[in-house]
Amino acid sequence: MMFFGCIAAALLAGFVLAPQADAAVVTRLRLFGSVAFPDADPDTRPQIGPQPLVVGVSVVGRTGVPWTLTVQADSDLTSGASVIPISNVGWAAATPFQSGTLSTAVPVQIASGVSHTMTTARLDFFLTNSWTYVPGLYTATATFTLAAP
Amino acid sequence: MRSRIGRLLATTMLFTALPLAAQGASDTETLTINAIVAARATLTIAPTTINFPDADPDATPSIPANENSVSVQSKVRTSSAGVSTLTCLANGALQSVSDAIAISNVTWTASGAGYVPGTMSDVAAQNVGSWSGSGTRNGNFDFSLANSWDYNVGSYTQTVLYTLSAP
Repeated sequence: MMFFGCIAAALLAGFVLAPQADAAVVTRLRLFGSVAFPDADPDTRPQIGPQPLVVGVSVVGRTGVPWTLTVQADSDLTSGASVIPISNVGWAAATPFQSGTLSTAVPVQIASGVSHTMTTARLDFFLTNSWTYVPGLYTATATFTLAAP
Repeated sequence: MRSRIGRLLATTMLFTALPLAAQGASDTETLTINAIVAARATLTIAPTTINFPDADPDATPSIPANENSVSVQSKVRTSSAGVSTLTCLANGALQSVSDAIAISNVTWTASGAGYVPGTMSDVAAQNVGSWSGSGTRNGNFDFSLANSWDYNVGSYTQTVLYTLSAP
């Protein structure tokens, strides 16, 4: 009886501890807003935007754990067979967040730090406009990753 | 028995404690990016007024415009297979107070990909250039007036409408 009691206690402790183990560093990433670029004359608006996106970053739990926030585009902007390179989409951010340009090839770092961190930042997205674009409704997705290894 | 319980408990504790040391943490979010690109066309010609000076028809049978070369820029957004066209149509003959010079006496040569030379008309729009797909096309026009002893003395003027169309 005492044996099973000990097992149960240990398992219970494990279930209780397991979330805390994950919670040694708990990351939480949230995006607020959307990015939709309207049509515009390339002569009068060589850059379309800003389209604001608020990013919420939470890295809590064990202190002193480094974290990074990156973004990588899943594809170029596409409309049927027409393509606008995703590198024409960039964002501006205030320090300590970093401005940058989207890429399908590599993750681009937006911010880094050390836990505990609970912060939000505004990223202003821009699309470089051009007369070479083919008319259409373009779409793409980008994956934001908040990681504390 | 006590030893067996101890081993089991230790094993259980080990399994439940492993995540403490092995797992990092990450979270991801997906952002959808949309962009609307509409068809449009913009034409720029500079300068927009040209002047043919007086000249002796024998010495100067063809009078170049003072402003040559006139620059032209055609900007178009259209489908990949869409053909855009630039045309011109004069609103009439070169007209003075009481006399006229047929607008067909005004011709132009053109440089720049897609631009073509031609003769002015006030009857039918004349092709000035055509292109496939989106882009910016730069060129130049050099205008000339065929000179003649038949012209009456006067100051003549007329306007010409240039139209850039994209499907």
